[in-house]
Amino acid sequence: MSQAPQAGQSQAQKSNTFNKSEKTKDIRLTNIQAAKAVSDAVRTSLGPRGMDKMIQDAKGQVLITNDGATILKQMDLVHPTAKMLVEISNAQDVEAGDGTTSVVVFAGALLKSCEVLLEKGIHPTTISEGFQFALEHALTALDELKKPVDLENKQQLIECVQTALSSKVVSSNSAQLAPLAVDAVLRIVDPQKPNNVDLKDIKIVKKLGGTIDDTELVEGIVFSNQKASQAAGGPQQINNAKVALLQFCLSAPKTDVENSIAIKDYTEMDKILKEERKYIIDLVKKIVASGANVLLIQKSILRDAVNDLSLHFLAKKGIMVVKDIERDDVEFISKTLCLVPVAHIDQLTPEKLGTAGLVETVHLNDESKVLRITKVPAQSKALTILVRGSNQLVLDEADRSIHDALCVVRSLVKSKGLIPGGGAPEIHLSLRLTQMANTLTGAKSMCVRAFADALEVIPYTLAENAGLNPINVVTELRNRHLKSQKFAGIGMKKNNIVDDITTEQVVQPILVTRSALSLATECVRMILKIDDLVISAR
Amino acid sequence: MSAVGIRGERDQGQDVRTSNVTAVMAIANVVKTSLGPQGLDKMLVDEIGDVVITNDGATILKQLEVEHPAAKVIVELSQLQDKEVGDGTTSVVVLAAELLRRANELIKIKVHPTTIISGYKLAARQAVKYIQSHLVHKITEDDTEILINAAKTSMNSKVIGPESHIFAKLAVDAVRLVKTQGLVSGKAKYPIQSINVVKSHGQSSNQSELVKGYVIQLQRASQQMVTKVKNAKIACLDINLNKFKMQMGVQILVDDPNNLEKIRKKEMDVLKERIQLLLQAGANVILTSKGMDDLANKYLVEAGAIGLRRVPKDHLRRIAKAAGAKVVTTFANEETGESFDASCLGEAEEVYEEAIGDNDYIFFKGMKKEQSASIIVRGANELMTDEIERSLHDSLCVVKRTLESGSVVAGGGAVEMALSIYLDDYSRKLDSNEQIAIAEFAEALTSIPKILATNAAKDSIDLISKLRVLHSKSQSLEVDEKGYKFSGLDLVKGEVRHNLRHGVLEPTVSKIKALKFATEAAITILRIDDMIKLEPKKEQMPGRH
Repeated sequence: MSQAPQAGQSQAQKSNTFNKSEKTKDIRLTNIQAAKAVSDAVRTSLGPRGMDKMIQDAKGQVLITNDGATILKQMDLVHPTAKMLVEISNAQDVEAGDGTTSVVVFAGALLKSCEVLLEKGIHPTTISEGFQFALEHALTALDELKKPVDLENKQQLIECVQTALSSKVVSSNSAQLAPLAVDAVLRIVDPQKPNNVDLKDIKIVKKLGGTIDDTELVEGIVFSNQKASQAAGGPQQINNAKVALLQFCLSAPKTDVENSIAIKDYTEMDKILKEERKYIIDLVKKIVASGANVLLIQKSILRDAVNDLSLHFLAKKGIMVVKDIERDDVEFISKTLCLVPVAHIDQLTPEKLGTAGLVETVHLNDESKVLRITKVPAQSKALTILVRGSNQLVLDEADRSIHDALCVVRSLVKSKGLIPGGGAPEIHLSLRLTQMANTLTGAKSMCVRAFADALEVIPYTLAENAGLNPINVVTELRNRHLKSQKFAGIGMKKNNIVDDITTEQVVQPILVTRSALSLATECVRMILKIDDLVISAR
Repeated sequence: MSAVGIRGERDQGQDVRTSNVTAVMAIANVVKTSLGPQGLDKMLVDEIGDVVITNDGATILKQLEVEHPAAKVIVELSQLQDKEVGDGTTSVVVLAAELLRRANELIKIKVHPTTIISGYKLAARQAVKYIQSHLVHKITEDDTEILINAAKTSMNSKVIGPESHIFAKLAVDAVRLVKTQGLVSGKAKYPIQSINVVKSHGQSSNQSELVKGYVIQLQRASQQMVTKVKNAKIACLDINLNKFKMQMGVQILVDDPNNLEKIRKKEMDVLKERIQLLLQAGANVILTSKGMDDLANKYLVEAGAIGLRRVPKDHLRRIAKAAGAKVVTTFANEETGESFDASCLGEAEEVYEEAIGDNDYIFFKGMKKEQSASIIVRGANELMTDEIERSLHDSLCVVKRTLESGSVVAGGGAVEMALSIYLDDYSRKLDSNEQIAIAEFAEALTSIPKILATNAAKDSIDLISKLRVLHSKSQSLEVDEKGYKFSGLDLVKGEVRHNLRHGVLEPTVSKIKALKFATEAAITILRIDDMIKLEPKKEQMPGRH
């Protein structure tokens, strides 16, 4: 009896699976449709005059953002090709940190031109190769616009960051945030490895309250959630601190669940009481002996990190206690304060302590408190940016924007090249590729031309979002570039076309455009090569 | 599933804006009628059946449980205004909604949203500048009359409006009592959270009084304790004063009945020794945030001390601070024994229990370290006392802000009208696209005096035109001798008058912040052109694998 239906089921499943494998041509088209829809979804956020998206997630939480990568991540897309676009946007975020919207918009435009090429009967592989060819030439042509960057020239870097921030909600604060980001990254550049920086060395700490203007760069560590323990009146400020990072608990050990201590006599009660105290006192004595006067204690889920007793004694000895340090922060703290985390009391030796000039609980202007560790040793490179914002939405957006700003500086450190913004590079490349396409013959020429057309989507969308007439703007730009004004672009200050966009300080790192072009092209080539989609039945 | 392939709904472009603006308008319409001295109250009943009657914008919106995301931004806005300023929570919502409504109209006639946004930003910046340069009236700290008037203005719209002369004085005195010097800056600070507001229903609201000291609704741990202690030595503990118990994981196994009694006695002795430690140190008022059992009470009664148990921790900390005591968490000392240091004790002139209405209250008077202020609010019923508390909070904030900012502006729509005329003029000097947005901003500002007049059942068109004439006259004059720029509405008589002279005042900070916040919120919503609502994730269907 059980045999028959099972067989039937598996057969049904088989045919089901078969049904879900669609026809080759359709699948390309539906893939392209899906990916295009995604790119249409984010295109209104492109550029300084781009709009925001409000996303209410499955839990009902609301998010307002303009950041392409964040929008796509939150949208929770289901179509597999749509997911690929989300991934390139993420890849762009990791690689360059900026241009996450442009990469998706450009990929969408490329796919659109693929549609036309496919209709003409050009084989997908040919298209794919043609695009690759076009990309290589585009990247070399891009270098024609490159201006070298001098990391000493802060003003230039700040301008670049301001361009990246101009599209964000926090754009009005860019004058303040841009220098902050530049200072932060430049400080952590390692002279031994001048071509890369690790953004993990910059910790962004968010604290609700105040306004974005109150955001500041702290050379040291700021804890927004952890505070110096006030119970038992422990110290709130310590100069010339010796900091120990403890990974064990300062509380009485507990018995296992199954075990228990049995008492038979009342004298033993006293003993237990004293034993517990003795244990804690011994710990405290060892800590005092090591010379530490600030304790950072890692969060523990097994036991209370501290108890009343240990807090009391430590407060008496004038030792500051900060508990609930997140595990993830341990590495950052060790790096900043040049200390070694201690996992057992016996290992607590003076050389494992870190130093800091000042550890204090600071009252911010709106009565909230943070713990701040400053005047850290000169050799430490890590920094903290304390972000403030009047509500959670603004705070989160400020956090994302600062991340973008840091990434922009990082990509300048990485590739040390600047190109103009405002749609100038895209038009320039488009023109160069069209010129080249004219020298080619065959399907390849068509593909290169299609690639060139697709590039124009960026200035087109920029103009559209700014409320300009996109056709006029793009054609005029083409015209100017043909007259070899290769820095002509769309200026957002007066909403017009500017002869030299760099005079309006609209510049971006070359890495952003380069990685956007490569990522988008690669993704499109991959989508093109798919000729079958099998969704396995669960 | 849409073309993009998301699980959920998606709205774009004009649809989103219209739906956002509609939602925001709906919110604003709820609170609109509560604006101003003649505004009316709302009765809110929540799902449990609890009733709240209030006139405070922030409180109304908090109770509403708004679902629309854009409307949530507006609710947050009023909450923010409440936190940062404490007053003007209704007007900020009304203003933001009006700005949005006008922006939406502009978008419909094809003005690009980005133009409107930059116009609004510019307008807000200019407005703030103009307030600071033209509309403020500087005051000093000792200007009691102005402070009382400012407090009165904020109360006028509330249920205690008729008794505002009593409460305004209470508020000003209370804020002055808690004045402290900032440790770092040396600037005077007014931590109004240390003003303790105690509610007790019964008697009339004008029996409310200010107590120079700390009042807390608590009873002595035992009725046999004395009700009053003079020259009190206060011990603040965070320790359980119950019969001693071993911690978890320790079992007591008794095989000899004689031992049983000894163990019981030992348990009691531990407590007894602790109480003795306290008494020996000289403590005669003992507060603990934890329990205090009959055994402990017995010892305290014998010693003639007052014991208070289950004192909320924040109160305990404040009392400790005011009395100069230290909160003690353990008796243990370094020699593994127990001791209690007399230096941890705080002092007060007297501590006594007194009944107000139905409840008993403990009064701490003449604390050693710092003055503290408590306001005892009386009222016919709990709804009334709750509303009085909220109104008092607003007024305390107003007094604090006035003292901190050192300047006031005239109320009654004076600032809004002056700004409206100024911005209208300003927009005409601008030849860019933003002109139209700034003009709308100026027009939106007049909605505040309009609603004020409408709520007071006065002829709003007539009053607004009169007000406009005066302000426009003031701005065209070289020197505004008669102070036309302070003209505002008198909503009782339905006239236009010099509001600065008549004592209708608001702190400058409150006006400036309200303008900034409202503009920011409007811009946040304006920038949205796409709304994606994801469906809540469904549980996996059982049985399918």
